[in-house]
Amino acid sequence: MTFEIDGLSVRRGARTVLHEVSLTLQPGAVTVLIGPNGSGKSTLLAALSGALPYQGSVRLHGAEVRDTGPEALAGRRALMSQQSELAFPFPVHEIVALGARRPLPRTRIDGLLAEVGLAGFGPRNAMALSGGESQRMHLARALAQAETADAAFWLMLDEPVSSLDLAHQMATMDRARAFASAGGGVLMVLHDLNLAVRGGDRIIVLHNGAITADGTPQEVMTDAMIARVYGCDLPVNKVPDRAPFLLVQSLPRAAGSAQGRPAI
Amino acid sequence: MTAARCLFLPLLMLTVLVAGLGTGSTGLSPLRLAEAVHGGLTAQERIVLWDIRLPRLFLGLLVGGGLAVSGVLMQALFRNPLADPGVIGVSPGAALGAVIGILLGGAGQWVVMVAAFFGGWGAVALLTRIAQRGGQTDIARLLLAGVALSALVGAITGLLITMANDTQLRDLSYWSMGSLGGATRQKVALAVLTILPVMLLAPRLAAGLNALSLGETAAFHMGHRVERLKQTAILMTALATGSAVALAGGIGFVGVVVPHLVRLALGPDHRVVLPLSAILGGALVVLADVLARTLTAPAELPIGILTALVGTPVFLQILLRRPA
Repeated sequence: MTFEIDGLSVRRGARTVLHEVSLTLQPGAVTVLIGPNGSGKSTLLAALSGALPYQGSVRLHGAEVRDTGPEALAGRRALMSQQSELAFPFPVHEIVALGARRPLPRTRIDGLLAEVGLAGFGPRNAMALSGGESQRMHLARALAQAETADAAFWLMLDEPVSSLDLAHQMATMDRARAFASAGGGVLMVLHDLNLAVRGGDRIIVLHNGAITADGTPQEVMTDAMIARVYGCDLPVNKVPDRAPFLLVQSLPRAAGSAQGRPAI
Repeated sequence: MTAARCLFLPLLMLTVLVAGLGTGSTGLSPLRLAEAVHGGLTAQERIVLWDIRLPRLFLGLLVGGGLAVSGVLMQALFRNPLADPGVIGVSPGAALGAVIGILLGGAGQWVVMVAAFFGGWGAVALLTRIAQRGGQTDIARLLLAGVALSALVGAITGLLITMANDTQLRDLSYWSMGSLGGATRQKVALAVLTILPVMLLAPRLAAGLNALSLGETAAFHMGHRVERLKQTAILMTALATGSAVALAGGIGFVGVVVPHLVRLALGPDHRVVLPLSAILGGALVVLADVLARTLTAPAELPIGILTALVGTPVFLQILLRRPA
C-alpha cells in the first residue's frame, strides 16, 4: 500500500509548481509535509490523489494513479481539503455519510462524529457550523470513507488543524496517529512546525516545488533549514529526550528591519 | 406530522386529477369522472374528457415535472439554489427558435415547436463547447458564457420582433407566457418520449449530485465521475426543458420554486428532491392551468402569468432568507 512517486512534475498554467519530485511513502506512519506558502504542498497532495494531471509516475499499491478510475481511487484514499464549500443545507450526518462507500448505520455515523468531538451534531445544519466544527465534520467524512474501503487506506489531510483550537488540534493529530498505528497511511500538510514535530514520524520539506529535506523531525528541524526555507533567523531549541521545538517569542519584533522575512 | 406527510401526495394527486379533468366550460363532477371509467358519459363529454382534458392533464404533468427536474439538475450543477435551465441557454435559445418559427411559419404550431426545440439545443451545444477546457466542462465559464449568450439571443429576438406584424406579435407574446392550450395526443406522445425518461432517470444521478454539493474536487475524491455527471445533467436538462418549452412555451419559475419548496420541507437530499420535484412540478403546472382557464373564462390566461405570480414572491423570499 505504498506510494511510489517518481519524477513527478505538475504545471499550473505556465508555472511549474512541482519539479521532478521522487519519494516513497509508507503506510503505518504519519508523514507531514511542510514548507512555505506556495511551495507546492497542496499541489503534491492533489496530484497524489489523482485530482490533478501530472508528468512522471505516481503509483499507489502498484497502480498508476492517472490510469485508475475515481471509484477505485476512492477505495484507497480520502482527501480532506483545505477549504470546504457546501451548496445546500445538508444535516451533518448526511455529509459524513456522503463519504461512505457503502451505507453505514446511523449509529456508526454518530460514532464517527463522536470520535472527532462532534457527538450530538448529527441533525444540525452543516452550513451553520463554525470553521473548526466544519473541519472536524470533514475529517469524520474522510474516516467514513476509510472505514468502508476494501483495502488498506490513505488519509490525505490538507491543513486539517488550521481552524482548530489547541485541544482539537491535539485530538486530530492523535486520531491520525491511531489511524497510522492501525496500518493506514497518513499524509498531511501542516503549517505549525511544532505540531509537525510532535505529531509526525517523518517530515518532508517542500521549497519552490522540490523536496529540500526529508527525514525524522530531529533530522529535518535545523536552524539551517528554518533559515534557508522560511528565511527566518530562529534557532531550533533542542532539549535532551524531547522533540526539537521553535520558540516564536525569540524572533525579534519587526523594528524596521524585518530582514529576510516576507513583506506582507 | 408523518400521517399528514403520507396523505399529502395522494390527496394532491387526487385534487390534480379531479380539477384537471373536471373543471372547464363542460363541468365534470368527480362522480361523473368515476362514471367515465364505465363509459357512462354523453358523446360530448367523452370528447371533452378523452380528446381535450386528458391530453392536457398529461402534458401539464410532464411539462411541469420536466421543468422542475431540470431546475434541480441545474441547481445541483451550479451549486446554487437559484439556478434554472435558462442559465445554460435552453430557454433563451428556444425563445429565439420560437420567434423565428412564428415569423417563418405563421401560426403553424409544429413549425414553432420544432424551431423552439432546436433553438434550445443549439444554444446548449454552443455553450457547452465554449465551456470546454482541457476536456472538462468549466462551470464558471459555462455560467459567464450563458449570461453573454442570453444577452445576444435576447437582442436578436428583439430585432426579429421589430419585423413582426401584429398577429405575429400576439402569437409571440402568448407563446412566451406559456400555455397548455394546444395539448394533443401527439404532443403528449412527444413529451412521453423526451421528458418522461429524464424524470425517471434523473434520480440515478442523485448520489453524485449530493456529493457535488461539496464541490467538484470533493465529489471526485469520493469516487464520482464528475465530468460524466455534469454532461449527463446538462443533456437531461436540454432534453427535458427544450421539449417542455417547445410543447408549452415559456412557463417560468416552476424550476426554481418547486425544488426550493421540496428542500424546505424535506431537506436537500437529491434522492428525495428529484422524484418529489417531478411530481410536484407536474401538479403545480396542472393546477396553474386549471386557474388559467377558469379565472377569466371563457378567455384563457397564459399559464406563465400564474406561475410567475406565485413564483416571484417565493423567489424573493429565497433571496431574503439566504445567509449572506
